[in-house]
Amino acid sequence: MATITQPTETKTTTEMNTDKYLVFQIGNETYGVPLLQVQEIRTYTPATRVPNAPDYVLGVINLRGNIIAVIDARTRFGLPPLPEDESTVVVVAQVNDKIFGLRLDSVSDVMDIPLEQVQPTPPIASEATQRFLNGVVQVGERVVILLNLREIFDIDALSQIAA
Amino acid sequence: MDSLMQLFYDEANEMVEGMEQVLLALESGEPDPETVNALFRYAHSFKGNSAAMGFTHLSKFTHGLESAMEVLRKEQRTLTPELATLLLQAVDMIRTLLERTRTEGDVGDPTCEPLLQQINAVINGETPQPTAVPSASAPATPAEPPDVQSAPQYRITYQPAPTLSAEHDPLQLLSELRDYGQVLECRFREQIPPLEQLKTDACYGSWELLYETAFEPAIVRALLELVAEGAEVRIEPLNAPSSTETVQPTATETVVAAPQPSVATPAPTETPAATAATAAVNTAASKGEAQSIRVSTEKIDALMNLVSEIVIAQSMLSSAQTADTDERTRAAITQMERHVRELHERVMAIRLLPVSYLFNRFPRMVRDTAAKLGKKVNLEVEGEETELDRTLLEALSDPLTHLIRNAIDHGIEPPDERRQNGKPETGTIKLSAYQSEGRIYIEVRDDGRGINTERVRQKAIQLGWITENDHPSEETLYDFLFQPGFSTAQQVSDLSGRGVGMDVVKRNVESLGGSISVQSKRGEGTRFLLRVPLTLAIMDGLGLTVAEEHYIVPLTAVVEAFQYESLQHTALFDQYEMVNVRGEFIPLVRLRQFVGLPETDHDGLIVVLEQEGEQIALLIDGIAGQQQVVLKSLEENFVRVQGFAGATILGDGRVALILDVSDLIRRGRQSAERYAAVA
Repeated sequence: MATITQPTETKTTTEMNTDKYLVFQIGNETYGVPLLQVQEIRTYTPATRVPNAPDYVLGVINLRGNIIAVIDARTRFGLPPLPEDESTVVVVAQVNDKIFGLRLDSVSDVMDIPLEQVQPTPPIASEATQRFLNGVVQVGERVVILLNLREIFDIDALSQIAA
Repeated sequence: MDSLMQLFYDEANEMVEGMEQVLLALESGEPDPETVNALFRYAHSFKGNSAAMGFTHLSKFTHGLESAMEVLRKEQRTLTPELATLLLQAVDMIRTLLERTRTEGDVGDPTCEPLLQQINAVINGETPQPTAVPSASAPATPAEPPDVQSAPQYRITYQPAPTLSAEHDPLQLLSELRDYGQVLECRFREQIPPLEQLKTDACYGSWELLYETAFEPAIVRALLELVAEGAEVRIEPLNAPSSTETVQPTATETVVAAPQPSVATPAPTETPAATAATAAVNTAASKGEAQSIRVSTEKIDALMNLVSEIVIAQSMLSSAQTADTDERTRAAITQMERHVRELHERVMAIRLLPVSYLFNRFPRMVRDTAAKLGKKVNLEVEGEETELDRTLLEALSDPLTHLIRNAIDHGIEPPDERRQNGKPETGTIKLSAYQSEGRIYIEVRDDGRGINTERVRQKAIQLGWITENDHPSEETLYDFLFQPGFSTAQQVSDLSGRGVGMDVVKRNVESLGGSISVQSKRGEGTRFLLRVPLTLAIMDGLGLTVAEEHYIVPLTAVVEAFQYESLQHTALFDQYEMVNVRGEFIPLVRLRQFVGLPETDHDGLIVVLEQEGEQIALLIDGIAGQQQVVLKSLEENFVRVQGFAGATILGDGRVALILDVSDLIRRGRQSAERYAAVA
């Protein structure tokens, strides 16, 4: 939540608080994550499977000498995974001092999200996925669902990977 | 140079820098009471450290500084620019003293005292008197009174505060006074109450001094107030100085020394000892002027990381060789390989330090802990010269401290109990280190009462881990000790059992790629054995394959590898799989099963792995060859994964997980126990 209430530069034209978000498509919906948390976007390279990890953890990859985990966004949201193609990317983000990758079908854009207009997520989503969401916002004709990366890369839940 | 000495200088330099930074930060920011607190803490630690090393001049100066800060701190005052400048001079003075101590021994500097005077004068709102208090830039020798005969004399009565704490050192007062004049007479008066009213932490003595000095009475007063805080001090000027009263200066010392036992503070007794030790320390300091430079660990770490990257690049290069690679390229790669290996070893050696660096902290701790618990413990140290990676050493400090404390608290019995059991009253804790099979072993052994396995079992039943009818093996019971939430301490003592348990020790050691085990015999003692790798960074690994996956085991653990033949295989009750290796049955662990892959029919290979004298046979699909691997943490950006010691990056840039041999062995042992339970 802290990520969306964070005040940043004010747009002079509209006099509104906006934050830059990286937006992408999963299924038919548009999702967004705060650009500030995103380090880089990479093409997907196969990850090394980690035995006994939950299914949404694709495995670990080498990020310039560091080992980071890659999480599949579709599996995490309970959607069937898609086979990878040229547009499959890994968004490298940092939460809680840990770097991880989120595999996405594609990334589309960087958008200015007006923070005042963000509304709480309607309780239509299941309890399990509700925590991944920070709210929804209408930008022009698109509805953008804001994601909570901290919950998606839930390090506490992962910390018990026992063989 | 002696490592303890080196540690002192390293810390001292850091503290000097820290003080300077705090002071300099003032210039750019708002004055803040926290600054004073920080300076106080620095001066305080400095005083303690230098006193411990026997550097009397340094400790005296920093003590003065500490007292000055204490005044500011009490009154919640902030630093004025004037004071900040003086304090920076004090920091420079500490530097000078440090340098002098290092080169010439415990000699001190004549400008110390005037500087302290000046600081105190400013703090007390007085303008420094140029005659009596020369500025630090103009060194003088105030310890020499201008004229003994004509100097005025004072009668000083010094009654320390009833609750004399270790902070207040009567002896220091006397020695301060000696620096400014002459103590002609020193009488000690004791007013010790009857035994039943005696408080052990109170002071019942007072001193009466005949003092002669050329300095202003105000200075004498300031000096006394500085040293004798909270004490009752009376200064009466005596008009007629008479030379007949003069006592030999040497006599002063004997009179001072005599009353010490009556004073209920350890401080005065410690100071002469420290002074006596000074001479020995000094010679060590001057001899230890090694030709070395101080390099920050970050720089070495950066270098190490770079070497690690080169090792990865090198292995990429090596694996890029094909049958068509021409002879010259091949030769160059081979040569490169050799140089890279040597480079790695050399850089590694920079980071190695003898374990004495770590072990030296323990004698004091053992003494204090034992004293607190009313036990007699003797610490024996062995193999201090064993060298270990600096990061590892630091990371081992907490686990070892915990183990030693535990040994004193729970292991060693009280003296009378020991006597009853026919043991010497003084218990022994033996701390030893040695290197074997490319690993470092550190052992903490005590001759105490040993681990009560029955109590461990009862506790495990109580915790619901086992049932009344379970009688697990000793090893399993010992394993319980390392589980979170387990503590057999009857009562939570002040020293151990503060929630930081053996599980934390185990986790710490394992996060270093090491392991810990325990052996114990009732009534005879307990032995903890820690195994850690020589380095955290690079090791020789053997690549193993199952299906399309690639895993690494440390080469040091590999005993042999051979084709798996079903004839060798035995399974008891379909549970306990074993492989017969030349007549010896070794527990079998299937790597496919271990990493959650489906089994195949086709025969694979067996790799026999050994650690701590225990072996397992690991069934794999194939061997991918031997290579140097750079150990990378899975935890840094992810989590610790059970069964794996870490990960590494292969020649093609992909990640491979490194198998944790001790976990594989545990797996083998568990199935063995399951078998034992069935049988």
